[in-house]
Amino acid sequence: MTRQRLFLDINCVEAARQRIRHVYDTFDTVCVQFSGGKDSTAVLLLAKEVHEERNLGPVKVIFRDEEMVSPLILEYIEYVRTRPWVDMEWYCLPQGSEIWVLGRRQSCILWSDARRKAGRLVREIPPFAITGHHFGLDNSKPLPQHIDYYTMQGKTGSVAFITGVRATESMIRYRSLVQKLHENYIVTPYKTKKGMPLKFAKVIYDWQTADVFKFITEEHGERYCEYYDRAAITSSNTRVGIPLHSVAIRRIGDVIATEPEFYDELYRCFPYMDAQYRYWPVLDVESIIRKYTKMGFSGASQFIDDYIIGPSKTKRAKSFVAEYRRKHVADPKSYTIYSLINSLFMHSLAISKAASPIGPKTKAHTMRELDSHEINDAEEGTNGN
Amino acid sequence: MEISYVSVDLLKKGDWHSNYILRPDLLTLSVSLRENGFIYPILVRKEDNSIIDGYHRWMLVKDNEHFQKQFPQVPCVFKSCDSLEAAMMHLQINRGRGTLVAHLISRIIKDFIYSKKYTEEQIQALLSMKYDELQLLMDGTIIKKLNIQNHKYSRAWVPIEAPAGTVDKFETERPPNSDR
Repeated sequence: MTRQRLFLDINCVEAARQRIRHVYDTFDTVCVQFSGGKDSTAVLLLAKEVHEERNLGPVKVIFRDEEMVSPLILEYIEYVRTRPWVDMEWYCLPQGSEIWVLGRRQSCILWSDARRKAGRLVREIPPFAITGHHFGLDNSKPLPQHIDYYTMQGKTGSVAFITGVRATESMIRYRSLVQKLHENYIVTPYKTKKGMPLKFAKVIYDWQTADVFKFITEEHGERYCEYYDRAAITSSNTRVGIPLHSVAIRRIGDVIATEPEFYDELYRCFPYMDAQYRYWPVLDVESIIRKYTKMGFSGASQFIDDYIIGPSKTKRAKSFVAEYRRKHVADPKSYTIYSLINSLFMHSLAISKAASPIGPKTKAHTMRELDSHEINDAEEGTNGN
Repeated sequence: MEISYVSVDLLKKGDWHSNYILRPDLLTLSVSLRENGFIYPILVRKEDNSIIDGYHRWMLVKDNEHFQKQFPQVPCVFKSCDSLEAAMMHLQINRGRGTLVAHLISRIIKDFIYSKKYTEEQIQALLSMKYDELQLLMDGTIIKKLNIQNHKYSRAWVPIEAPAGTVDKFETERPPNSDR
């Protein structure tokens, strides 16, 4: 599949307006999936325009509260929730997550009863929230179905969740947006039950960050979350979300630079995370990966024993290794043991992540080309272990 | 607390010293020392005159002739302890120092300017701050940083099939600094 972008003679805002009208024309129920970030604020305001044009009443908004939400974002969400043109459903569901500290990952259930009883929830569940108990679920176990299965309950007919996903956020997001040629921005959510009438509509997929802020402030005169001004002063990341998973925690310094009080709340609940902030910049990641690489596939098992804590993550890691091993047998050059250990160490182990080969011209590939002797020697001696 | 005044030559660096001050921050410390002198004493291990806390102020005086004239003797508090206890104190003091928060500094900088107590030039000199940093702290909004007023909306696009080998030079937005 080769794709390229065809630029149109209209700007991205006009195009997004056309797309969102099409979504409202096509689906029986349309909701905005809101996170408190700039992108979901922009799609919320686009939806507001349609509701005003068509006199549809308040915009239906879904907020999936992931517990570790910063005070500034929460303050902004509360501001949005109390707008008369917003009808927000606020979900606090026991999703599985992880705390990643210097490569060691530990399973964690958001809003878990056990942590609540121990006084170690980052915050209490808001009284108006829809919780696991409303679905007859036990908050000590992660959700048995994908979260979208729960948030679309009670919606009638065909359902579209409008999200603020943009292609420029990452190459994965870009690729997901160029797969389809017709209605490329309307996609089926990953891992949802067959026959579930839910689609995601990514109507601002071709916007840049500056487009988002211009639209919010100049077209709507609306405020955005104060976090972004603090991020601007401190050169911090402008993406908001759970700060302790394997990718986000490597920028935990951004939390300290923007909201140190939030860091303290996280520390109160997960005190071992402090080591990440103090020692990540000096941790010799490469030597750790090499150490386990030299042991071949038994190194992968050893790595799981040493670095992955908790049954669900361990199970996921073992199944990842098993899948990787099959691919390695068929194509050892593309699926190297170094890359396996690197993935176990550094990358997300979410269910949606499959083992991927090392392509040419990638950083990993170049590194291996430059420094291949030691690793190749080790692998030749250990293949099939 | 008994404060003694001693020559810098009597003191020495502790083996436990594990704190590093970056050059711009050291410059600020130097300005503060010049303007305000020693506001609090250096903490020294009595047994061997090793510095537990205050190494950088001591180093500034020791390495600078002007400071040596300004401070022929420096204020010290001597503490009797073994070297491991001294190391523990050193770590406790340094880990407990806290960190400056940019948006709160920004508020103070605005107060400085509005009160006319300090000019922009004085703030830059006293805090070893460059012009860009000062401007950022004085008006640090994402709207200004992205120059939203002059921004023109991007053109919309749709994906199309392309011949094999076509490269679409697509660039993602990266965070403004690396992992931290």
